[in-house]
Amino acid sequence: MANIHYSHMSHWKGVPYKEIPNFRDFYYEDKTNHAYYQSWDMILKYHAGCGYEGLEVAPWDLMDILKLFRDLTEFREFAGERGVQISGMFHGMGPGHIRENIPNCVAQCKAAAEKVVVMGGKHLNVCPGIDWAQGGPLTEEGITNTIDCLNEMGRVTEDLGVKLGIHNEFFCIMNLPNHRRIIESTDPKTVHYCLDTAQVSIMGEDLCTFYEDYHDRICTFHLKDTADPGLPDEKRYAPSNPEIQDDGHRWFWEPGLGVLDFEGLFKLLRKYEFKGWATIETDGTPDLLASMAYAIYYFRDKLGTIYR
Amino acid sequence: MKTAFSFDTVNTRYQEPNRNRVESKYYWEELIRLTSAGGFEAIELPFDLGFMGARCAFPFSQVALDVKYGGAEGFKSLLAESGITKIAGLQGTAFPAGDADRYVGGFRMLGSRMLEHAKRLGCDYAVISASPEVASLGGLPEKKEELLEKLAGALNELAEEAGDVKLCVRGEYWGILRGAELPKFMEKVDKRVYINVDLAHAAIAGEDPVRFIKACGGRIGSVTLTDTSFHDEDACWKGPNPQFPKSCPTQVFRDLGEGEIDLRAVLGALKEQGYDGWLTVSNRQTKDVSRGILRARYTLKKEA
Repeated sequence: MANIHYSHMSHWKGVPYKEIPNFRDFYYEDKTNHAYYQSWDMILKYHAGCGYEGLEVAPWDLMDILKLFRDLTEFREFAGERGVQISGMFHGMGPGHIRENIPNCVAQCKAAAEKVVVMGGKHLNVCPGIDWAQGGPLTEEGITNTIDCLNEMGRVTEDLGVKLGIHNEFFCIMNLPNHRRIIESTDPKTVHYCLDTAQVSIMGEDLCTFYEDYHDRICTFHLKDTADPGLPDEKRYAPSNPEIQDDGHRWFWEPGLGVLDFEGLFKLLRKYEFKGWATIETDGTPDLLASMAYAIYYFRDKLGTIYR
Repeated sequence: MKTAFSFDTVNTRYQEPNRNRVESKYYWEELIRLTSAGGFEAIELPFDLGFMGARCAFPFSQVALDVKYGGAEGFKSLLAESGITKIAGLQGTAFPAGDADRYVGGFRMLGSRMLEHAKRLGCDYAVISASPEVASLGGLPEKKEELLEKLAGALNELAEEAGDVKLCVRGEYWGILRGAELPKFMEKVDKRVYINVDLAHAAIAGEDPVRFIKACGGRIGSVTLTDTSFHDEDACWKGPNPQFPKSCPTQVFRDLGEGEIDLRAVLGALKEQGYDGWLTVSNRQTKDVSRGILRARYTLKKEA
C-alpha cells in the first residue's frame, strides 16, 4: 500500500453544474471543449482517472458547491461515488497578528474545520495572516499575537480531529525573518505544517533543508515547482500583492519545469517514512487537466521509484 | 448608432480552466487591443467593489484602476493608445442579502460608488441591477412590495447624485423586476432614473423585446445587446444558479447573433422610440472572448 496519497487542489474556478445530463446537446451548442469543464461529475472523474485519491477544496468555491449540492455531506458522497475523497481544505487565518482579532480568527477557523469534518477531510491548511502588502512587517507584538492565534486555532481543530497546517506564502506578512521562529514557538502537538514547496522556496528557504529541519511538524504538502527560489525582498514585499504579475510571469510550475530538487525531497520522505496526503497544486497553469495528469506522472511514477 | 463592447465578456467566476491569466494586467491590455480590432471604439466596464482588490488587474474598481493603471486617466490613456476613445458606461450588481434593509443599503452604497466612478471615467451611463437572483434573497420575494418601495426610495436618492450620468435600472429574468415588472415599477421612480433594456433578459422573462422596448418608451437610458435561445420552461429563474439551468444545461446568453433575438426588429423599434444612446454588446457567457468579439461585429455589420 502506498505511503503517499495524492490529492489535487481545486483551482477550477466556479463549477456551475453537478452533472450534465444532455452532454451531447450541450457540446453541439458551440462545439468547443467548454462542456468538459462545467460539471463536478466530469471533473471528479478526471481526478480518479489520473489516479488522484483526493481533492482539496478551495473555500471560495463553497458558495457555488452549496448551490449545487444539498449540503457538504452530499458533496462528499458524490465525490466518493466517483472514487475521490476530500483530503482537506485551504483557509486564510486573517489578521490574527492583531490581538483583538484573535477570537474572530479562531471562530472562523473552527467553522472551517467543522466543514472539513463534514466533508470527511483531515487537513485544514492555513495561510498564517494577511498579505505583507496589507500590513507588513510583523512587529514583536504581531509575532506574539500570530503565535497565540495559531496555538488557539490548533487546539480547536485538533479537538475536531483536523490537523491544522501552517501554509506560508511568499507574500504573507509572516515571512522569512520570522517564519522559523513562529513555527518553533507554536505547539508542536496541535500546530502542524503544510509545506508548499514552491511558496517556501520562493520565500528563501532551501526546500530539502527546510524539510530536514521540520519533518516532524510537516503533516502534508502542496507540491509544486518554481523557477524563482529566493525571491529578493523588494519583490516579496512589493506595495501591492505580487502573486499575480502584470506581465503574466508565473511563480508556480509543474514539477520538473522549475528548478526545485524534488528527488532530494523524495529521498527525505523515504528517510523519514512520510505517510499521508500530499496535495499536488497546479495554480498558474492555463490547462488544469494537462497539468494535473503530467504532475501526478512525475511524482507517482517518476519519483515513485524513490518513495511512494 | 453608437456601439460599445462590454468587458463582462470575461467571466470572472465561471470560465474555462484558467484563472491567473485573466487576473494579469497583460490579459486586459490585450483585450483592449482585440476589442479595438473588432471595430469597437467604446467599451463598458463591469463595476465590482470587492473583486480581489489590488491583487489583480481587473479594471473593475477604483482600487484596481489606481494601483494597476495609475488612476482613471492612466487607464483612459491606455485605452486611447489602442483606439478605444470612450468608456460608455458601467454595470453593477449589489451583493445579495436576505434582509430588505441590508440589501437596499448595499444597493444604495453600490449605486453611489458606481456613479462616482462613472463620473471619474467620463461615462454616459451606469446600469444597476434591480435585484440579484430571487433565490438568494431569502424571504424577500414574499415582502416584495416593501422591498420595491425601499428600492424606489434608494433610486430617488441616487437620482440626486447622478449628474450627467444616466442611471439605468436593469431587470434580470431571475430578479423581482423581471420583464414587464420593470417599466411598471419605474413609474414610481424619479424621471431622472432610466431603464436599461437587456434583450435576452427581457426575452427569457417572456417579453417580446420589441414589445418591451415600446413599453419602456422614453425611459430607455441604455440598451444591452444580448442574445439567447433559452426558453425557461422549468421556471429556473426561481431557483439557485438560474443562469445555469439544472435540468437542461445550456449557454443561456449566447454571443450576439448566435441566438434567436431579432436584432433588426429591435433596432427598428429603438429608432421608432427615438432612442439615440449607446447599444452595448454583451457576450457575458461566451466560450471564446476573441471569437465573440468578431461574431458581434459580423452581426452588427449584417443586421444594423
